[in-house]
Amino acid sequence: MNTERKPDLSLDLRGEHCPYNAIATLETLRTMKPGQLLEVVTDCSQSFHGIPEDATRHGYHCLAVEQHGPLFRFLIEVPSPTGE
Amino acid sequence: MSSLRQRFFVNFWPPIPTLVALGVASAYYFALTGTFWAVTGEFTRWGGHVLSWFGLKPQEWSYFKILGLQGTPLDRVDGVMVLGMFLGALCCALWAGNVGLRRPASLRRLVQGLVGGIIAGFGARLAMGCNLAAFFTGIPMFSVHAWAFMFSTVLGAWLGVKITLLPFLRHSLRVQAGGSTLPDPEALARRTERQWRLGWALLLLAFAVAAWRFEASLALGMAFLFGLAFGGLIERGQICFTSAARDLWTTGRTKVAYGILLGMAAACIGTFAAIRLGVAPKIFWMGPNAVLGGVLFGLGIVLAGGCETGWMYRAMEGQMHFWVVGVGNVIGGTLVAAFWDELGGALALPYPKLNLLELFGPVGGLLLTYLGLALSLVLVAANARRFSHARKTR
Repeated sequence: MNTERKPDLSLDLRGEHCPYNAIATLETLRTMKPGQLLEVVTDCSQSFHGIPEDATRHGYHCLAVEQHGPLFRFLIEVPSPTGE
Repeated sequence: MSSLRQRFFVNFWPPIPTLVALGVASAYYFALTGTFWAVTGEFTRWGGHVLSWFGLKPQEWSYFKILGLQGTPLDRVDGVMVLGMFLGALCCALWAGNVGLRRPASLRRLVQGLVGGIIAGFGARLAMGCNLAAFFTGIPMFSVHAWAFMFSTVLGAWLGVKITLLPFLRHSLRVQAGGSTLPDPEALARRTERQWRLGWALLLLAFAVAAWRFEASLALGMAFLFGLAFGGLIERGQICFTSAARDLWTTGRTKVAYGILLGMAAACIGTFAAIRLGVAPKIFWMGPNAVLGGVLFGLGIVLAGGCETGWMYRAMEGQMHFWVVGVGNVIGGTLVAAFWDELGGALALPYPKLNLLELFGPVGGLLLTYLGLALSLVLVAANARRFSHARKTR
């Protein structure tokens, strides 16, 4: 989908397990401005389900979930307040 | 073919249907083997075997008289099932190209995993089961202690979250501007192909083991095959019981919790049928051990980052942290065995083994179980509302 767009920030969570992955992702998103794009890279397979669910529940848009062998990459957008 | 492969062997499966499948399979497992799907009892026996290498005589301990410590893991239903789970999870992780050595983030995290694993193993064995025997397959046995364990685990998980998020256990965030470099796609494709073939070779080997165990007995062969399926399913669905309890308190995740409750609902009718036909249910003491064990278990799994089934499939994927958690589980369970005369004598043995089907009759017990599961679903949903769109209200 929007994988061509370059992320504004990248969060490297390799070696970390839950709940740190989820908490760190939400903490980083909170510091970002509307319209910005965050890339998250983890090597914990569980985050494949967890991070998109958390991001959506907390009002962000998870645009992409990718697997690169033992690495997982997520693209999450901070929505603009004016609408979709 | 390549799209089928992507869809079933690479993409992870949705947790809710996977958990329902696990529930159904666990009921058949009970009917076929006469025991429930459980892992920590076997881990504790491994601890017993290790102790016997050092000249101790654990087979004379009262706890191992309850559990049984005869033969080797390959001669026991639980033992071949656990072996099957490891192989099943490894096959699935290989097919997805998802095996790779993952180093832990820090030594501190590793120590945390060991301590958490010990606490979780201790709590689980104190309550006579982990997320399986005292929870996922305990509630479908209609044993009251499993209900106490489930709610105590959720409470313990809250304590665990409080500890886990203390500043000294946090790492600073590694954030950089722009995107990160990803592995070279061609090298990755070659590696994925190798793992794909290795996965099938391993499955052939597993079938040979199955044939060998079927020669010994039907129960052993079946237990091994079911182990393969259980391990494969938890890896494919990334079934994390820890997340179900913990994330009620952290981010409000619901999917795994719903899946677990629906899985138990699916299992209950199957185990009920088997019990009606004469298979004896496994009921344990409803004493303080179930509550205390649940709290310790909940705390331990959150601290460790995974429970007894969670570490198994993560360890097979190459997450080194969870090798240590597994060792911790064995140590914790073995500690309960070593001090069982004091612990069990005070906290478990004087209390009754409560069976819902006997207390309220078969229909009443079954109905009450489904009511309890429905109420739990409502509680999970109500809890999640605390987190929905939290960002917008701030």
